[in-house]
Amino acid sequence: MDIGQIVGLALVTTIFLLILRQQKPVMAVLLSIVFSILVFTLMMSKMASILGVMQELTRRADINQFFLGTILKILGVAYLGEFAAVLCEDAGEKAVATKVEFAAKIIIAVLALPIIIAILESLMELMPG
Amino acid sequence: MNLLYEIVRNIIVIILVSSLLELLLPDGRIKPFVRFAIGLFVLIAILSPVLGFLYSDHDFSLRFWDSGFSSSDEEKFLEKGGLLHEEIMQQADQERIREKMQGQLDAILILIPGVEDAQTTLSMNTEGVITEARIIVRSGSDKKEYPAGKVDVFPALVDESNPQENEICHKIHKIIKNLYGLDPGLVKIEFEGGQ
Repeated sequence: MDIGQIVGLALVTTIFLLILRQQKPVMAVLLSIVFSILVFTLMMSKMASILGVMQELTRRADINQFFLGTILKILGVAYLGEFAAVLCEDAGEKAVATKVEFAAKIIIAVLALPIIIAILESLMELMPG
Repeated sequence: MNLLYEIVRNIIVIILVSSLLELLLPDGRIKPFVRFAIGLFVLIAILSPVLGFLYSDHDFSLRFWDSGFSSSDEEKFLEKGGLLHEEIMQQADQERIREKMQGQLDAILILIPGVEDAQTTLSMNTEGVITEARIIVRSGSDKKEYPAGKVDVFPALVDESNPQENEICHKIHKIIKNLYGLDPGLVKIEFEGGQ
């Protein structure tokens, strides 16, 4: 069971973190990063099956795959941004965390821009005159 | 009816996809941004069949997509393509090109009445432009009659007095000029002497 492994790993990491935070806070941050990457990697294979289903559904609905691709990119940016921001906050660097979030928001807006323009152009075509 | 069916189907699909995406969303301050993008996705899914019905070959414009490029970019790409082409031409196996052209010319020249065989040797510069063409022609029909004692060891130049050779020369010049735009002065024609 994957969840069993992850829970076990999380508990061990938490105990180590509690100890390390007192003794060596830098090592605690490093351990936290390693744990996050590990969970991320473990979940990637599961994520692939969800993405496969999504792609199949959008293909059946005749929706351009570019749009789903963009949504997934946005989701990825959001996850990575969140992940980095939380790590920075854990390390006590709230300012850096805010900047990471800001960057993620901008990137998401830029990625969403073509969809907005596509919708606007299509709506303009629908408008009479 | 078909349109309604398509809209309903799309909405069902999009509800499923967006629910899945919502489940996957990270809980944080970025969430509203992602929800907005998902909202756009839903809008597209609903608009798709409607626009497809109104405009038969409609697809959402992707002109502003990352991979798209403007007309000014297009010119730049063409220029780069031209430079690349030049580079390739310089690097290409010119010997092979020369041989092919020689073969083509030989094949065309033997179609001229009175020419039994032709051997072309082309000279090209580094840019792949023909600078000179030397053609040795063996005419099959006429037999030259030489006065006793004259022996041709090397290929003889065009005999001005022979009307058939003159005609062949004229045709060869014309063919080469039409094919490669080569000036007749750069084409040297020799007739194999004595049969």
